[in-house]
Amino acid sequence: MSLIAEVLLHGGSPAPDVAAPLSAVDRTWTDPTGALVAEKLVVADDPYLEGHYPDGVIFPGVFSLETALQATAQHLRALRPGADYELTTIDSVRFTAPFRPGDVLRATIEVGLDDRSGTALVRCRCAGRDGADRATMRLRFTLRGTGPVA
Amino acid sequence: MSLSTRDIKAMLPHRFPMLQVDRVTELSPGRHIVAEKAVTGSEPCYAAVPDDAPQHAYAYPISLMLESLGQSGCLLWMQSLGRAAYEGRTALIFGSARGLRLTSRVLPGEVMRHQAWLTAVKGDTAILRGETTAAGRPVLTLESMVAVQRDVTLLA
Repeated sequence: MSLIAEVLLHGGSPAPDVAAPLSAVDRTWTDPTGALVAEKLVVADDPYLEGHYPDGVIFPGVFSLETALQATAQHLRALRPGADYELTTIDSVRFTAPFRPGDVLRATIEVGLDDRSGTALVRCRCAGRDGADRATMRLRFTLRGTGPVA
Repeated sequence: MSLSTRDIKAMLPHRFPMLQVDRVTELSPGRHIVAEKAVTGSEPCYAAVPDDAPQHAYAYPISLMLESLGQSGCLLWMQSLGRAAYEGRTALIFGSARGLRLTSRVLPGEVMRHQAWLTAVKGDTAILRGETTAAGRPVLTLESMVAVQRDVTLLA
């Protein structure tokens, strides 16, 4: 089923159980290389978008970061059940082209786990249907309570 | 100097609930800005938090914290661009950020206090660095962020 049909039928993914501006992941799967792929159909009536902007909706760059964070949290729970990771660092994030309503944001996420230090290094690329990257990011997570976050 | 809400809305196209700056308390044109965003539990980002969620589930989303700091930096740059900015012909695009380190999270009832410094302007590109605190407690530091100026008529 196409993502659009799935979102229309089932209304997209349930909201995450922590504070989040929107549900930024509709579905996920693992690709042949083991990377997680997450998809989000950009829709104009998602929360916050009425204000970005009133004259025409553009998916905020930081919401592609939100897709990466929500999908990574889901993936880490699957890779290390019971472990609770939190973001400590965004090494880099780059927004090169916007997503608009009707676009399907496809995020490809590679996770490198270091269980000795309890850290996860994450690389994420967000592309549109043409496969060209529109946002990229490198993130670091650590197990809650072990990192610098108070 | 400081900026009123009307001043802020004259410079940024963002509106409720994506306008993530409540007030500007200090502004040294072309150099430094201090801006604040109050966090409250009655914002849309808290709508779906389950009743039995732990306190850390209420941490203000990182995406919105970065947006709030980015808007603060844009206000600093916009203010130094003058009339074109106020007449709505210029929009600023968040291009990239490097070295964001989180040391604490912000909870409902707290005020995020952002500082941004304009470190360089080259043509239509500005580089800034930033720092956020809440109740005097460090929240995050940002080594650099890049904003790019665009003619609004080309954005559609």
